[in-house]
Amino acid sequence: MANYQGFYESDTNQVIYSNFTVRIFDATEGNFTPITTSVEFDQPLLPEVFKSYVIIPSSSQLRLACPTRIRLRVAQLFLSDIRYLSVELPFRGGSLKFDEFFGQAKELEGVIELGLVGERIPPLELKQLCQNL
Amino acid sequence: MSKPITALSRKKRRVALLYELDFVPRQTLLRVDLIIDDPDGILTPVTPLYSARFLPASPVSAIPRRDFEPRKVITCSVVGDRAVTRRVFIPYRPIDVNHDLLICEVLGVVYVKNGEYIGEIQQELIERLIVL
Repeated sequence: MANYQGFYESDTNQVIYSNFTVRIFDATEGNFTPITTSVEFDQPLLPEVFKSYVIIPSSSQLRLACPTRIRLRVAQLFLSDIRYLSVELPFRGGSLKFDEFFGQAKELEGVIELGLVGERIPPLELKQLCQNL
Repeated sequence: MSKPITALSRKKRRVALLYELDFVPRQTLLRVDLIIDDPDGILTPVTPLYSARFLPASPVSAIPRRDFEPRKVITCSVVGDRAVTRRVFIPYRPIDVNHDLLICEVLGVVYVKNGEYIGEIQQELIERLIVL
């Protein structure tokens, strides 16, 4: 899989330095299964707003991003009915960059449909949000 | 042995909820069933910021959820030795301050032990929602 890195903004306005994974999911043989991509492969399929926001980390930089229990939101860029590019998306709903991402994604050659799978914040992290609010 | 709880022994109230999608400036009316009476005593947590988005419009005219799953908090309460969950939709966009305030109102309800948050899911028709 190809990894990118940058600041992730949760729906609850928590900002986390994170790795963003980009993968292909393919259902040629039934269920959608992940396939590793490379940075070179991803380039024509990623919106400019994403590419200009993230860095491509070296292998030692990958450790700079702390693991989080939040399951990151994912944008799905469908290339066919059985194949889509899955992009962990740093921008939260309603923000300008979120709108730009999907606006640019729909114009990309080869992208026929878009999807969004919202993030999941587990109970402990949600409780901490309210303690800090 | 206690009588099993069935949907029939529950009372629900149907409301129309004004919901803002992640995609500005789109909004929609959701048809939402609130549990207003239940043998467990665990009702849908209706807090001021939630009811502020209930509209007097007939719930019948609100659209059913076909094309997407709204963002929500799934609360967990404990009754005896059982966990009981309830769903509260979060109609405010993540960039709206009321988004976090409503989540915390819900978690502050006395019988809510904890809750998890799930963001908006859109599997179809995003192309029609994009303005840019």
